[in-house]
Order: sequence, then structure tokens, then C-alpha cells
Amino acid sequence: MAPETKKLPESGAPEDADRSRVSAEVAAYVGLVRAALRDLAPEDLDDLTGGLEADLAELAAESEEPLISRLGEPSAYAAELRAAAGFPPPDVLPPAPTERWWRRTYASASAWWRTVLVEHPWVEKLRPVWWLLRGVVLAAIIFSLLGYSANTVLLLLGAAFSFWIGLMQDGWSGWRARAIVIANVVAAIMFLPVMAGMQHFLGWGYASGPSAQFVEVPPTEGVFVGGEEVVNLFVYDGSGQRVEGARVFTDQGAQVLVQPWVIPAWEGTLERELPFDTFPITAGDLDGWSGLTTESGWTPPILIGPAAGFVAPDSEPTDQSTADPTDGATEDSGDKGAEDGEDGGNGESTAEPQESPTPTSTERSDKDD
Amino acid sequence: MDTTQLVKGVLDLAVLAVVADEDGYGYDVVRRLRAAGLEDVGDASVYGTLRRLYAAGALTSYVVPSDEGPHRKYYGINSEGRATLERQGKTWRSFAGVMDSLLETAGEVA
Repeated sequence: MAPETKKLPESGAPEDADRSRVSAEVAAYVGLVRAALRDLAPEDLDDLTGGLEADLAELAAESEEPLISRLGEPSAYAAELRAAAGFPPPDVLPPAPTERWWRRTYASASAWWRTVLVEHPWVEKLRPVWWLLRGVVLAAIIFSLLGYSANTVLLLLGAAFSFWIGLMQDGWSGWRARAIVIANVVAAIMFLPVMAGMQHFLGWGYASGPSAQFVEVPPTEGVFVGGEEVVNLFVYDGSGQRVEGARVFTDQGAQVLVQPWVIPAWEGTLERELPFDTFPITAGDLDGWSGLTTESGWTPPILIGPAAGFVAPDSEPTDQSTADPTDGATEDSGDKGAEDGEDGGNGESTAEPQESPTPTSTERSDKDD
Repeated sequence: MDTTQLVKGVLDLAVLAVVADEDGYGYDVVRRLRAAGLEDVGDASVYGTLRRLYAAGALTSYVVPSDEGPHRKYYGINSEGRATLERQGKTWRSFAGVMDSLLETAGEVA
């Protein structure tokens, strides 16, 4: 009989540094083996698989080759174990609880992940980056579900929160560990869709192609009537006569200008330096009243009807002697003013040479010559 | 010839012989069997056999805790196991003798 003192193997013991990752891979494998033997009585299962972790850990520590490639599928391994131990093969495995499928999936996935970490240790260093991305993605999902429009501040808060969780999550077990797994899976699945949507709701990056929109900026300068920009202004005085060289001011004291770019250019003869503040706009040889008109082609008439209630102010001095005393008393009466309109018109013809536009008209005639 | 099938038939005997030499845990027994020349032996087959021999009362079992990992399950032989080893050993030797003489005869013919 062998002595009760037993040899403790030193050579095959896994190194401390590798132990955690080895035991995770081993635990996943043993978990799957046990799952395949779950029809056995619990004590039989314990007999059969007790110590299996230690054996497989030693095996795993011998080389970097994954357990699954050295031992085969856990289900086949379990069948061999079952047969060698003298248990009959199961006719039908008892129906697994519904959550078993994801438990198995999780075991396979984590075993695969451990293998990745062994083969590419630098992947481990990317975990903080994943924590941040995970936070952004989950924050975007949560806030859009809540109906908030996601903004950068909320997403950064999500990233920071996720990072903080990431620093603590390694020691977690139970529901918190499960929540982490679910969060990671959701974030991984939704990563691309959310990032694609990000451009949309945050305007990250420049949208190219058909999504680009041209927004019409309301002009802040120029003269607009009925939504159309005005090219020229034709000013008549109250009596219906043309006014030359009119300059118009707003109630704010701003001078009314038309914008140079709305003036159509005629075969380059039109210099762009024009008095855009004096109406009608004249340019070179062109008479402002006939030349610089819009393409719609309205020609300003030489004379229009006098304004309602117009009283020619310059007729007052000349008509002062003949004016009735009652005239001044009824000055503010609209009807009376309308009756006097024709008289004002007659008076105007005499007044015209005295008006200030006269020099401009002579100036213009000089140009015409 | 595929030795896997042959090993299956004599695995009980082989495992008993290894454990009779010295107590061992599962993977330790596997390694010693392979070192002895039974390279086709399967891990799970050895573990299962150990458990079956234990259930049949031929082996004792005890657990050795480990500071650095999962505990190990050691197996040792007992008196019943030694009796089984002796009995099955005789059966094997007589069987092997029959096979040897059979092959020697065939060798003379060929």
C-alpha cells in the first residue's frame, strides 16, 4: 500500500501570473463538461468531476495551446468520461433550464476571449478605451430611449460613468457581473448603428452628399418689396412729377441703398461704382429713368397723378395774395386739398425751375451731349 | 493496429498498476501511463476509470487543498484494489501468453 504521504507536484503547477487566465479557461471548459453530465446524480457528478479543475489547470499550464484543441469538444470529453466511469449514456438529457443556452454561450465566449488575451496580451490595454466607448454608446441609447436629444455633454458623462464602473467591475459577481456582461453585449452590438446615427444627431463630421442642405440666409441689406429685392427706385413727388437724385432715409436715420449686385450689367458698359444711394440710379450714358430698369420691364411714366390730398407747398407764396383767408382755415381739410390739387399742378410748372433737381437735369443733359 | 481499442480493454489494469506504485491525481496518472508507453490513453478515460475503480471499492480517494489553485483529488490503492490487480494481472498474463504463442505459430507458418 502506498504511503499516506503524497507527493505535491511542483513542476507542473501553473505559474502565478498565468493562473487567473488559466483557471478562467479551465472553469469554462469544466463548466461545459459538467453541463453535459447534468443528468447524473449530484454526488456522482462531484465524484467524476471533482479535481478536474486541478488536472486541467496543470494540463493548460503545460502549453499555450487552448484546451479545446488538445482535449476536443467538452461534450465529447464528457462522453468519454461518462463511458470510462461506467455510467450509461444518457437517452435524453433532461431539459435544460431556459437560461442555459446563454450560460453556455458565455462560457464559450469567455474561453475564446481568454485565448485571445493569451495570444495578444496588448488587447488587455485597450480595456479603458472600450469602457469609454461603451459609455458613449449606452448613454446615446438611453437618452434617445428617454426621448432626450443626445448631446456631447451627456455622452461624455456616460463615458466617464462607464470608465468609473470599469475600474471597479473586476471584483464583481452575481447580478452586477451579469449587468456588466449585458451592458457590454448591448454596447458591442449597437456600437456601429449608434456611431452611424451620431453624425446625424450631433452633426459629428461633415455630412456629405445628398444630406447637405443649403439654407437661404435672409439678407440684411438692400431694399425688399414683396420678398423681391429692389433694383432701382423711382421717386415722384406729391404732384406726380419725377424727382431726380432722391436720397431716402429710414426712421432710424439709415440711408436706403440698393445692393450693387442686384443691378444687372449690360455688356460691361456699366461701371460698378455707382451712386447706389441716389435714385433713380444713373450709370454712364444711361438715363436712370429708362436705362436701369429691371428685366420685368416696367417703364416709369414721365408724370403720374398727384397724390390724394396733395397741396403744392411752393404754390403758397405765389398764391398768397390771391388765396382766400378761408383757405388757410381749411388747409387741413382733405377735400379742400383735393380740389386745389389741379391748381397746385399748374403752380408746379412754374415752380419746377426752382427745384433742386434742376442742376442734376442739366448735368444729365450735359452728359447726354 | 489501433492501440486505442486495446488500451480500453486493459485500462483498469493499467491504472491499478500505476496507482499501486504510488498515489496519484488524475493528470499525474495520465502522465505516468503515457511515460510508460501507453501514449494513446485519453485523459477523460483515465479520470473516468479512476472514478469507477473508486466506486467499485478498489481505490481510496482524498483531497489535497492547494494554496495556489483548485484542490487535487488523489487516488490510492487499497487491499481490494491489490486483490483486483493480482487477479486481473494473472488474467492478462495468461491472455498475453495465449496471444504470444498464437503469433509465434503464425510466424512459423509465415
